[in-house]
Amino acid sequence: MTRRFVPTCLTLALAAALAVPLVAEGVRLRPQPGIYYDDSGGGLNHPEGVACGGAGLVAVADTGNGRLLSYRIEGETITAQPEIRLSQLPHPIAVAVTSKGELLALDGRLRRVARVSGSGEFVGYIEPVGDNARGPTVPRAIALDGNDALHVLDIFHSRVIVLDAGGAIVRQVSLPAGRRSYSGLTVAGDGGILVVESVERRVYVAKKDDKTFSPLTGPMKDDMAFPTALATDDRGHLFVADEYGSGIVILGSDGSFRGRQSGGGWTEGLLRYPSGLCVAGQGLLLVADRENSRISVFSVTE
Amino acid sequence: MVVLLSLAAIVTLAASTARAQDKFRLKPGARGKICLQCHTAFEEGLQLPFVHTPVKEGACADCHNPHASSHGKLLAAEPKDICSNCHSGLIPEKPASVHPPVAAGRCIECHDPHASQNKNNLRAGGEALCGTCHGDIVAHASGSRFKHSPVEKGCLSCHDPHASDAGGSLLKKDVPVLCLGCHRSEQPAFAAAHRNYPVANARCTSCHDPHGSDNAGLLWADVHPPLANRMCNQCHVDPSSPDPLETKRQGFEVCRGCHADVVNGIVTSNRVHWPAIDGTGCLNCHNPHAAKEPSLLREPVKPLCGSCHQATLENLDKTAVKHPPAEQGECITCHSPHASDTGFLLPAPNVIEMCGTCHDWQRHSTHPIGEKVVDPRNKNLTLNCISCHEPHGSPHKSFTHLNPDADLCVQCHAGKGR
Repeated sequence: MTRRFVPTCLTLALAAALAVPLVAEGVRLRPQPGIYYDDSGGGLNHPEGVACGGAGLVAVADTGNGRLLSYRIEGETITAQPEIRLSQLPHPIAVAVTSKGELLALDGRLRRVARVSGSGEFVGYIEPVGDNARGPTVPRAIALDGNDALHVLDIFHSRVIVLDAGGAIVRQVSLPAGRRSYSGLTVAGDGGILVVESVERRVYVAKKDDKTFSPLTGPMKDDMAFPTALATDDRGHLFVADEYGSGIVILGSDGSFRGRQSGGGWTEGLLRYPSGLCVAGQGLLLVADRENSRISVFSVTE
Repeated sequence: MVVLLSLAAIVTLAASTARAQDKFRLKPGARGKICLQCHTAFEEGLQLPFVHTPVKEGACADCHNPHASSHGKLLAAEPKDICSNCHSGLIPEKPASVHPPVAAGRCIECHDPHASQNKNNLRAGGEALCGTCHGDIVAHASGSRFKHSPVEKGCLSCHDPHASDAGGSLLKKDVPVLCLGCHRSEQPAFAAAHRNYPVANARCTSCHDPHGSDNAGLLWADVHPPLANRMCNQCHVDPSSPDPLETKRQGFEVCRGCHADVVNGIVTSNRVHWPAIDGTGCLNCHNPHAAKEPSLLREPVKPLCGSCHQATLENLDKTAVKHPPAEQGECITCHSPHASDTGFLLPAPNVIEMCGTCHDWQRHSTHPIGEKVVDPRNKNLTLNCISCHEPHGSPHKSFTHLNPDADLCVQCHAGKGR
């Protein structure tokens, strides 16, 4: 199903009237029409993950429907591809797109990462191997770097592990000790690994070769309620999905607060429990708007 | 000449001191007595065994301004500022805990500023004073079958009434150092009672209620059976190991041995409460030894959930119309603390069935809801209770998302708006 991506005057007026505009430092998130349907007109159902790849490829973990969806963004057009429904992936909650167009999906029930080919076939599970494997992992979030190396937020061992294509652990970065709740993971363009902690509401960073994470921000309790996901763009912006606060917080690459797009609601431009996000090459921010059962889309402008 | 100059200096000093003391230029002999001419009731107070020194010296004006004041009781300044003029240093430079009335400068909640039957001008003696605020603890201690002897001697056996730099809860020394002051961990009986595990390095209050208990050994009310049966090595490695307090496995894996049904139910569900399966696992919420709360919870449900879901409780505090289960901290009425196959960890297949466990909605509302009723705002959604109601509470009657008199219905019924 193809949908014209041209925002109508009515849509713009409605979104402008209802969406709380971004504040400060010139970064604006302007609501665009969201993604609601698959290629046959079937609706999304509580999607929890979204990933942006090269060549305009967008993948969605359509969690409530137990499937993966993919779309192509070409100019102002978003075209839905056939769904991917696999018995090995009954409850996908997060997804990543490799440079070859493969999908890596984290299953929330099995708590395993599956590799899916570009044509939608199950290739296999990615299991960490090597001296640092240390028994079962509990993957909470996944991300890919520019070399397609899989990063896994392993909350059982309180670490982020980096795997090669064969699953061998090539790097391990420890998370700060203490009773914390790490939820989201992303890799910046410079290879820095970023993790968001939900209770203290702060972001941690590990630069290349770091063995441990260190705070990028202080506790941001005034700016976020319960963040669970984050994504970066190529202009140094860090976008944090505040799941309980139903908003998007924008930070600079140094962790400085740049603004917040807030709004819990049903109309376009508003969010209800955003649980995943990614930045597409066309200056678009896509958000897995879970309780609105859609992918909300914003254009990022400065 | 030097002698004369010295005498002059002494006289000048004495005069200036007297003036400082008598800044209101009272007539000779009037200090204190002039106030008693009107405030006759104080005569009786002055006969009490413990009289505040300025009162005894008749220095009423040290605390009160006899002419006018911006403070109650004609106090010369804020109460905390008056007391700290003489009683400074009650709060250490880096306190680990401060008694809230002290932090707020409410000294007279405990101390009578004039006179008292009790030492230190306390308004009541012993635990009677502490019990005015900590009545539940005092009642528990006095009603316990097995009593802790320092508690019987008084709260100040262990607690500093003002502040402590040693530990939380105003303890004079932190646990276990405080406990080891009386309990000799090197004694064979101590080691045997603890199955030779080096618990002197651990927190005694993880197992023991320091105020008293109905369980022998002063164990907390709810005791984990392996502990009650002295089977420490069911979870812990051998006491002769290099790290004897370590558990045999990590996180929920160590609990699975006995609680396989619970753990397996968690790991096979679609949606898991993530703390249940991180490295700390069950111990994020449960005390593995003994606890005051049922189900070995570390704290009552509301503060326990609120320790992570702070924003939820903060919002609830600010909410005008609260849903009673949320207000009363009955989080697990609506949310499974472990896992579920339903969003929001509901222990029911869907929202309507969840709310229907308490609300017979079919009798009070004919508004269409259900899996077949499409939400006009978004065709991917169906109408259920939380389409209109905020389940924790909201500013509006019946905790609707929007004002039910103006804004709520017209979201869908646009043609009916004003």
